[in-house]
Amino acid sequence: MLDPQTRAALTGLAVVVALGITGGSAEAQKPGGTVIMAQQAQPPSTDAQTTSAQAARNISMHWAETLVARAENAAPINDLAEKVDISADGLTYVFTLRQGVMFHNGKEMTAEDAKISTERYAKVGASAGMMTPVASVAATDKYTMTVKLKTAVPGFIEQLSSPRAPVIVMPREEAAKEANKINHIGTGPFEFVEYKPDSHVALKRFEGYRANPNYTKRDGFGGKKTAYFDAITIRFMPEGGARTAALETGEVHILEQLPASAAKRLAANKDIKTYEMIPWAYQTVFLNAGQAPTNSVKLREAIQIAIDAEEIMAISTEGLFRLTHGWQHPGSLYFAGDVGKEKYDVRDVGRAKALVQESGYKGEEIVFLTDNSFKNHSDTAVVMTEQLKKIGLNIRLQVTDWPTSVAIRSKPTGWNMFPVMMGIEPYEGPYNVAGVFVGPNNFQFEKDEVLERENVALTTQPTLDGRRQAFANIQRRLYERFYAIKVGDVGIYQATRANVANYQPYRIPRMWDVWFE
Amino acid sequence: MGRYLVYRLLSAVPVLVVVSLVSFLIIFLVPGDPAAEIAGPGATSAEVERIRHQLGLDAPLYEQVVGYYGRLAQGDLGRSILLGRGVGAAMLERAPITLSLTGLALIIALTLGLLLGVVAAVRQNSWIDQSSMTVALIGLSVPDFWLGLVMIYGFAVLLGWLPTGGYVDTSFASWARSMAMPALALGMTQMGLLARITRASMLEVLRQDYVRTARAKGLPEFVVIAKHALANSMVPVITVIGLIVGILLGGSVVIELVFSLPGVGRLIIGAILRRDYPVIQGGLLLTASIFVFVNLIVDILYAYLDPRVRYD
Repeated sequence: MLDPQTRAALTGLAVVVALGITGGSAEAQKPGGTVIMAQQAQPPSTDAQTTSAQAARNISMHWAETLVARAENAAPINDLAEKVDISADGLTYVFTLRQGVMFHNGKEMTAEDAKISTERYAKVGASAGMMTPVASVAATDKYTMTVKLKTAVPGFIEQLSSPRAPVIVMPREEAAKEANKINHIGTGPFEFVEYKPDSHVALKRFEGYRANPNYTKRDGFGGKKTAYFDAITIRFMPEGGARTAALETGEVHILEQLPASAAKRLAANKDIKTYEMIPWAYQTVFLNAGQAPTNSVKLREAIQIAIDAEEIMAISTEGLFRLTHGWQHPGSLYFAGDVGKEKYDVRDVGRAKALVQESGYKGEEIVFLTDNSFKNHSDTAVVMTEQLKKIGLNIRLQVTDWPTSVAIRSKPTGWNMFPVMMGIEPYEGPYNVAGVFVGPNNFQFEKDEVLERENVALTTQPTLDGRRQAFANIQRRLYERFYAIKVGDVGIYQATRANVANYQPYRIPRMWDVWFE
Repeated sequence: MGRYLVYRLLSAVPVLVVVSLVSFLIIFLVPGDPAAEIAGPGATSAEVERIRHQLGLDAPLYEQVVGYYGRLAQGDLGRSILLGRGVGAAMLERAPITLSLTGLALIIALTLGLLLGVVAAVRQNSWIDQSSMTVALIGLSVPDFWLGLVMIYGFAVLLGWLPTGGYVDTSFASWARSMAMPALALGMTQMGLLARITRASMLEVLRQDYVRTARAKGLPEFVVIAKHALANSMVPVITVIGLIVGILLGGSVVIELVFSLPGVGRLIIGAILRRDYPVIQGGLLLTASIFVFVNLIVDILYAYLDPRVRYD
């Protein structure tokens, strides 16, 4: 079982991250049809464990499942696991698997499959770091997998249930293969049919799917999933105008993301339903504390209090945003209240100028590194640069493509600021948000003992209150040292044809429990 | 001619070797690699580094060069990092789409361009000339991606005659529907260039004595234009056509993106943006080979069209 305190808190949690609650539908569910969803990018890999790309997740979460998943409110819930028993010392996790769960190859899922899949993740998983505390994984009987940890990690289930780069369960023979060498065989409600790069992925309904009997309806990535569509085609359409046109003509039924301008134009179109999803992510700007002149805390504070977050968000998000200071979304389990709020969106140019002077800044060049692959990144950098010129900073925008930007910012010199949108990280909870500020590969290139200590507390405190306090301390520290600026929460528009029933926006466009009217 | 052909083909080998080596070194020097793409936007540098190691991207340059040429010597272009399949197979699979697109666009550009150019020259300084050259100028001035988006809105959204994009080749009709707008958008810009070149070349030829002689003999005007004038004005036009083939291949990248066509251009540009090294190298080698081949064809056509040109 999950930590009872955690479970109680998660169960009692009201609407979290504004993802909405799946309501029951009075409409008649009709099976059949091929639904076509369009997304901008194609996946860098279709091996679900190896990539944290959104484009891959959209596909993999339909054909694959995990032992524990995330609910509609982002709380961990059992999925392929019937239950999880955690020993009193927090070192042993016993996963009792649901019986009768079938793989797409016709074989029943057993603990041996789960064990080898979990062990594979430790080798090739994109978030393999979560497996570092794991001492051993064993299939203790046909339906029981036991994981022993070296040290207690109370947030282990939260990490294991993350869909970021999901720890999917595959048949043992597939799980024994290297990264990107697998056949796509899972337990999900849809089977993988084909992947045509730059064109589409095709999936079909898995007739042998055993929906989770412990639920009555879909719930996030888990719950009772029902596949109504005969087949799914996920098309890769890089051009936004062409995607929108395809929705208008009915060539595609679901758009992963709709440009804001098109959402406004299509609002009156009776053939199309548009959905606002906020928060989808948050916009951040990281500062290099290891490189002059942003190695000065006073200069970083000046940047923090000078910026007009509303202007940046209004331009970079095309209008769908909200201003919040928290490094977790308001209403979520680890939201730290007003901690740091007094430093957020202050827009105090006078005070900022004074801080610039106190920092000893002499007009040295500040390199604002950004990429042209993500529009919100470059928009954020451009607007913020103009704002910071008003307090006398000599900023040079350096625009590259995404891989170049990543390569430059992974080095301690050559840049001072870079923007990045974090989507899945805040959805997952506090661990991956805190994770970027700690350890030898922290984003800000400065080891901060307070953050290190509080991060340990976040991962080891046995009580939820203790872990929440640790995260609040992390947020407080971020507003004292200004390693990064939380600019605001980003929203996106999604859209479907009007005949797509019971669609509910979520981290991915889910095509189970959705049907054509 | 035979010796010349052999000479030209052999001389292409060092060109392609240099192209592959330079592309390899440039790619190695450019920052970034596919690990960043696989890891995703919020990944830590440790995660990126681990993926880099798994992919073997942290191996020394000489090892990667030796491995690459070792495979290339056996006709193996390597394996795509992000597609998980052979580069040669990926290109062959997409070649029909890009060849369809550029071939159709070339046919459209040739047909309309030659027609407009000839008509404009024959009716020099008339309203027909002015109209033809205006159409040509519009074709030259309008960016192909913009024209493509306008076509999508007009023919797909408003009229519903054609699909907004994608590639379906289950029948000739579905193939033609997939290709109509992309080929037209791509071909229109080159049509303008061809029309202007053809007009200029035709005007020069029409002033020659042999054209006057043909007319004096009483030959029908159509025969004078088609047989004597057009054929003799084709040498500079052929040169431009050779260039246009290259431009169309380059322009197909954007059109493939706009119309979501899974062609070679999109494969290469996707590989460049995501640093899929084997695909970039294979793509550059293929592009260079096509240019060498097209130039060879152009040179042969010179000899065919103008008996004075001999390569022996």
